[in-house]
Amino acid sequence: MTDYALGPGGRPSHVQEQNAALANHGRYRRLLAGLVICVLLGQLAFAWRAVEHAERVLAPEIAGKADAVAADLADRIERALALGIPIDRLVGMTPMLDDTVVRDQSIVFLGVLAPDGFPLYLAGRRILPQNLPIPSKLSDPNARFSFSNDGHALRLRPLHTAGRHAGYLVVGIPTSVAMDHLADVITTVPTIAIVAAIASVQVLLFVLLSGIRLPLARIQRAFTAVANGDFRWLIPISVGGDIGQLASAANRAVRHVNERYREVMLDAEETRHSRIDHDAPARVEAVLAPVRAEVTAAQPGGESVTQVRSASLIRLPLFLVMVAETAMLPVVPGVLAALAGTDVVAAPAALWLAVLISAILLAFVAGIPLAQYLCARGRSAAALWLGAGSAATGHIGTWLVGDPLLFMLARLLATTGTGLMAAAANTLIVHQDGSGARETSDGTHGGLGGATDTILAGLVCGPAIGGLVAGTLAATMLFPVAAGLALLSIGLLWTVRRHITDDSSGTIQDHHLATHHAPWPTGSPWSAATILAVQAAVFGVTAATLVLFAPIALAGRDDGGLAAGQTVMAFALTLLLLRQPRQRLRVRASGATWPLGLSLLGTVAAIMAIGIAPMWPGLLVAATLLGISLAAALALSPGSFPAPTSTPRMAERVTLSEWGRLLGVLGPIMFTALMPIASGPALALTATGAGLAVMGGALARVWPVGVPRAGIDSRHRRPPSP
Amino acid sequence: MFAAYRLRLILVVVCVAALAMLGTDRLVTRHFESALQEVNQSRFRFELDTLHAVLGRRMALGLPVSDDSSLRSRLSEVAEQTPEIIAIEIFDIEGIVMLSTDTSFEGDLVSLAWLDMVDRVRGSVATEEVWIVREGFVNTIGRPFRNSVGETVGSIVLTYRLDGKRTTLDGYRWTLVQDAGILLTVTLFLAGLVVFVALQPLAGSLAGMGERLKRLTATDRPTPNDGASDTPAGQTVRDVAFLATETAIIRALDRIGETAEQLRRMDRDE
Repeated sequence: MTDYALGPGGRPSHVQEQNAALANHGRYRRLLAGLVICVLLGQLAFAWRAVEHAERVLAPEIAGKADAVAADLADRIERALALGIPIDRLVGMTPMLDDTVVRDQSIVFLGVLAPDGFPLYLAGRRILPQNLPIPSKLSDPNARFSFSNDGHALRLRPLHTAGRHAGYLVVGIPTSVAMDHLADVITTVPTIAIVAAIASVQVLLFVLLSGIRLPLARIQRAFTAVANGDFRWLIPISVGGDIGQLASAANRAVRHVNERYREVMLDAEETRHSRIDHDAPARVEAVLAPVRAEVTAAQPGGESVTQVRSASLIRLPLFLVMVAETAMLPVVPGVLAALAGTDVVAAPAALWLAVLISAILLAFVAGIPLAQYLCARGRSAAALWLGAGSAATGHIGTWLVGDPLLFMLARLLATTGTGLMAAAANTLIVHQDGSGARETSDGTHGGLGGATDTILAGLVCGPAIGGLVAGTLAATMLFPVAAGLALLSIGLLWTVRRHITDDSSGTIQDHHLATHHAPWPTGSPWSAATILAVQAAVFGVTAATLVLFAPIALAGRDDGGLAAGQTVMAFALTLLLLRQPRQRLRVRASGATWPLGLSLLGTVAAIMAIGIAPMWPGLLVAATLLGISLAAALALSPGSFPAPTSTPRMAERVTLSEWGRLLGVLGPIMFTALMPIASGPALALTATGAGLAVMGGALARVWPVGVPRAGIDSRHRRPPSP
Repeated sequence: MFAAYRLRLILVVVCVAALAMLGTDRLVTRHFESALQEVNQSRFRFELDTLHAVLGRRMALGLPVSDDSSLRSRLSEVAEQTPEIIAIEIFDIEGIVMLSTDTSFEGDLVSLAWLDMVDRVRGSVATEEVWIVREGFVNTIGRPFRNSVGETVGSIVLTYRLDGKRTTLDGYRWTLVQDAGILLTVTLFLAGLVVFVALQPLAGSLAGMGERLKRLTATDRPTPNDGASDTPAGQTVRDVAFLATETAIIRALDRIGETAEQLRRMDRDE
């Protein structure tokens, strides 16, 4: 016997629970983790081999230098010996050797030995290397010997006078000199590994979701309907193989049931009309009653296709656009200065960079209500297309134009498009998955958390990729790369357009999709105006700080790409890592104690930094610490501030906390990205701007302005799923 | 195609790994090239410093540079001992070559890039006086020298080629390409293994479900529990909602069949 049971009415009572097993999240997590580990293993093994090879190839080059040093010194010593002075009576030998060691710091050992190997003069490390063979035991005293043991390139050169063997000269240079040149590689390889891991997660999630999980989710939906006696649904066959064959077989079975049902109904109709007894219709109805109760059949040709929407498919396009945009930021001042024909990064270039950053934030903040508005009217993808199209056009323009003004206009278009796309994607994901962190059909966390993770992932990878491309190839190589990424993003959006378009044409939605909707403020115009005003105020402070002080702030360096990437990575990764355990932390932290304590700690650290450091650097450190601590506090404490969520009434309202938190996280990261290319006191002002942005977010967070969710839900609630 | 998606997952892994390796390769190769240049530069820098010291001693004694035969022979000796050295030249503050291992250069004006570097070194407050001009695999390293009263009166430059190092660099790159090929193959294999292990049960389960659904529309359709626990696919099938679906279909068909039979019976009764 099988272990399933039928509930009342002969229908499975635990279909939903059983269906959950089909979407085995653990299996996909393990698969994802395994594949990412494969990528990491490959890359790290390659890096290890590359560094090892480099060290091996460079060792003989270092030995060549030791040869040159030995030749020069031997020449000088032999000239002195030629005057008839015995090797152990040479005056000034030790100062000469010392001078050589001081002049070239890479030489760590110099020595002159007697023919029997006794050390006469030593410089540098004044102990004979352990592995140096005793010269008196050498079979041919005139031979030149090379030893590369003990991490040193050692050269043992015989000294002669008048054809006689007079002694030995020993030169030692550590092979670690080569490793000093490769030190940057060793610190950068982990950066590439992390970027590869994050990028592979994004791409693999997309492939898994579009290729396996969504088709399986559709089958799962149809199975649930059929198990409940509803035969009106067919499974769209978008894939082949095992999944396609299963869907095809299921559709055939459903059609078969529908055909048999229709045949029976036709038979019943004939019976009803052919019988002459007056109670025939009632008897026929009595016969049909059980089958009508158990089977809900479709009208001829009227089967609907099951659909499962998933806005999580937008994540990869969003990630690509974020990478394309943030990869550009560190190189813009340098490229602009080159286009303008100036040697150094001019203040206007820095100002333009500040404008670009302001534009992306403005587009993001302004794009959210726009996207919500469109979402509420069933045109959810319009803002997404607008953003992606603008970004791609801007990147292509950046690539093609050669005029500084046109370049900046193209950059502005790309930046605005990116901000708008981020806002639209965020809104769409929240619209479909709800704003809270929850398990979605792709096994990751959806809602605002999912969108934030993707934006952070883009921020981590972008500057690092930009720095790598600019550093190893050229800054201008980034333009076609960014344009390609933006176009690829549009292509991906096109392929998944059916899964993200938010219409309500009788589709099956995930059970949780119908209960959470975007917080478009339809309830009260005052609420909407207040939200916009606060958002504008928060942004305005940030933008004004940037635009006014950027000319002072961003001057000087154009080589900070990779460093910027690493800085952003360190910060963003911290936030990403903190996202996962924060649920547990929040439970332990009892409300607002934890984030407020963290903020207090940051403030104390900031005050101490002012006290112990010189004036401007101290302020810089202080502002940075303050900003980071507040950002961390906000990131760690979604919903844990007492005001918005402590009462049931507040819990039902859509507060600004979500946007404030996102802005609070985004702002410091954007500014942190700039730190390596900024300098001096203005960096403190930039960091202060970041701090202000975060505090604005915090203010918005504790200020419960919004509209009840109920009003929105009643307007947009979907028809119940089959 | 499900199989195609497994292949796609593996290809994604290999592509991302290849991109990561490409990035690492670019980074390491750039640093390796730089390290190769630096190591060789430090070697020729040592030669230059030695000659500079000799020149400094002669200047301190007030000996002229232009017709100093012993200095000329010393320069020639160093150049002959080291095949990579193209030329060693000494030029005055105006850029006129006073002494060179290639005598045809004497009296000529040196490159403007060299003079520019000399000006930069003289104008800087840094203690480092050595300058270097790189033109592909031909480098020129130079250092100004002073007279007995400390005035800069000229520079000594050493031009060397690193053509031989191109082979070293190409060899290194080829080694990395080979390594990348091997490691990508290993990655491909590992990713395939991971995908197979993770998705094979699902694939078997789906195939089992498909087969049983096909039988539902055949004349010998199974009973709800028929064969469910006999096959590996059946074991997996039991874990999912499939049996409930299958049962619902069978029950629906049974119910329809019963209804049809009842209707036929009614017709017969007539």
